[in-house]
Amino acid sequence: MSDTAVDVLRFSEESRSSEKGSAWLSAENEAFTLVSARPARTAEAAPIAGSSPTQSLAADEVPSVRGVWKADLRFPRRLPVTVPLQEWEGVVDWVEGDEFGATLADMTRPDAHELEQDTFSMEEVRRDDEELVKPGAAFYWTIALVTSDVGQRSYASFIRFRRLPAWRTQDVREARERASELARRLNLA
Amino acid sequence: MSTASVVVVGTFEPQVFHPSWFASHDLFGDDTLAAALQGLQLVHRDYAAFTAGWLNIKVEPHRFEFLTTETVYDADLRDLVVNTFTLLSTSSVRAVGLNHEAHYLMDDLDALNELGYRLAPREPWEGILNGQGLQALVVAEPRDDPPGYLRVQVGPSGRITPGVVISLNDHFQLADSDETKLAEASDVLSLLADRWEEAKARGRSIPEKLVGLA
Repeated sequence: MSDTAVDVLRFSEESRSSEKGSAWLSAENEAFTLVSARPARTAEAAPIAGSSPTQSLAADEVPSVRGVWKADLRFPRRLPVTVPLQEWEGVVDWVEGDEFGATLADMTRPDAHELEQDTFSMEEVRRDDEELVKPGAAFYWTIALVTSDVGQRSYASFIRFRRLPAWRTQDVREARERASELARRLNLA
Repeated sequence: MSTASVVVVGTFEPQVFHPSWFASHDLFGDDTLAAALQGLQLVHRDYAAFTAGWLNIKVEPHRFEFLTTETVYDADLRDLVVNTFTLLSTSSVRAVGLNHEAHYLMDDLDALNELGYRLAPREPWEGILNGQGLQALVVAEPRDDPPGYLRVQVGPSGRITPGVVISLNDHFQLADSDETKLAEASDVLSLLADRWEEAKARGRSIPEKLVGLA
């Protein structure tokens, strides 16, 4: 973000404050919005100084400063937080009864090329995914630290099987055509 | 607390995107469908929205948003977008936003204010405003290939007190504004394949660097 310059400043005429010196939380009414942006090089990038059409609506829920002020700061408000600690991508090697074995690649360390093997219980699989557990099926496995709203910490394991795009008739036809062409070139037809 | 979302700007028919549409294409299992029906807000020709556990979906005629409030499900979110736009192969699209938002609980108000002073010093405002407070700071960096920008917004959190929220909007413009160049759903798939991981990495590193200034 080094190539930036203050570009637009928008002020509110009403900037009363009962708490001088608090840069973030001082205003009872809206204070000001500072928009700092380097002018766009292209027409497509123009909206950077306004709201972005691809910004999440959730991100637009910028809280009112007034709302923050009304919170009782003697009791910091916390929300449950789930922080991923380690993530793997796995492929099912075998399924036997209530267990399945898989080969895992560490997504947290993409430069680590060694694969790992592990065995899982079907009880760890969410019900929606049970029918997807077959040799060759791909899944994500995440170990996360969960902190509750009262600060209780626990570790949790999340296994989610990937729902990969279904083959369409056109995809199958095109794949067959490519295979036929390849076979013809290699004189295998 | 953090969220990740993918916003696709294009042309859509919101009334199509009832939870049963996703289930009929095998994108939702039975439990997810049940949760989505429970979390169904509206399906109308102008707007469709529902929540299903980790997933929030909102569709407007020119905007399709996939959002998760659990970063554990980042990869699942990407897969769902890929699957959806594989099915919507004939849709025209204009832009894609890969968004990340993080809320941080600060130690106390002093730490929150210290971050505010670092990002928007009070000195330039002396004599202009009294007791000013920063509500939102937006900094953006344009990019050329594909055209777009990275937009970072910082402000006080309304969800965590005393806290700060940092939002990133990685905007990719796939079609020209004058529509001389149109984009297709396959461009969304290519973009997700090429840019997802780096956007995700930025979504973690930039907020951590900014909040570390306190």
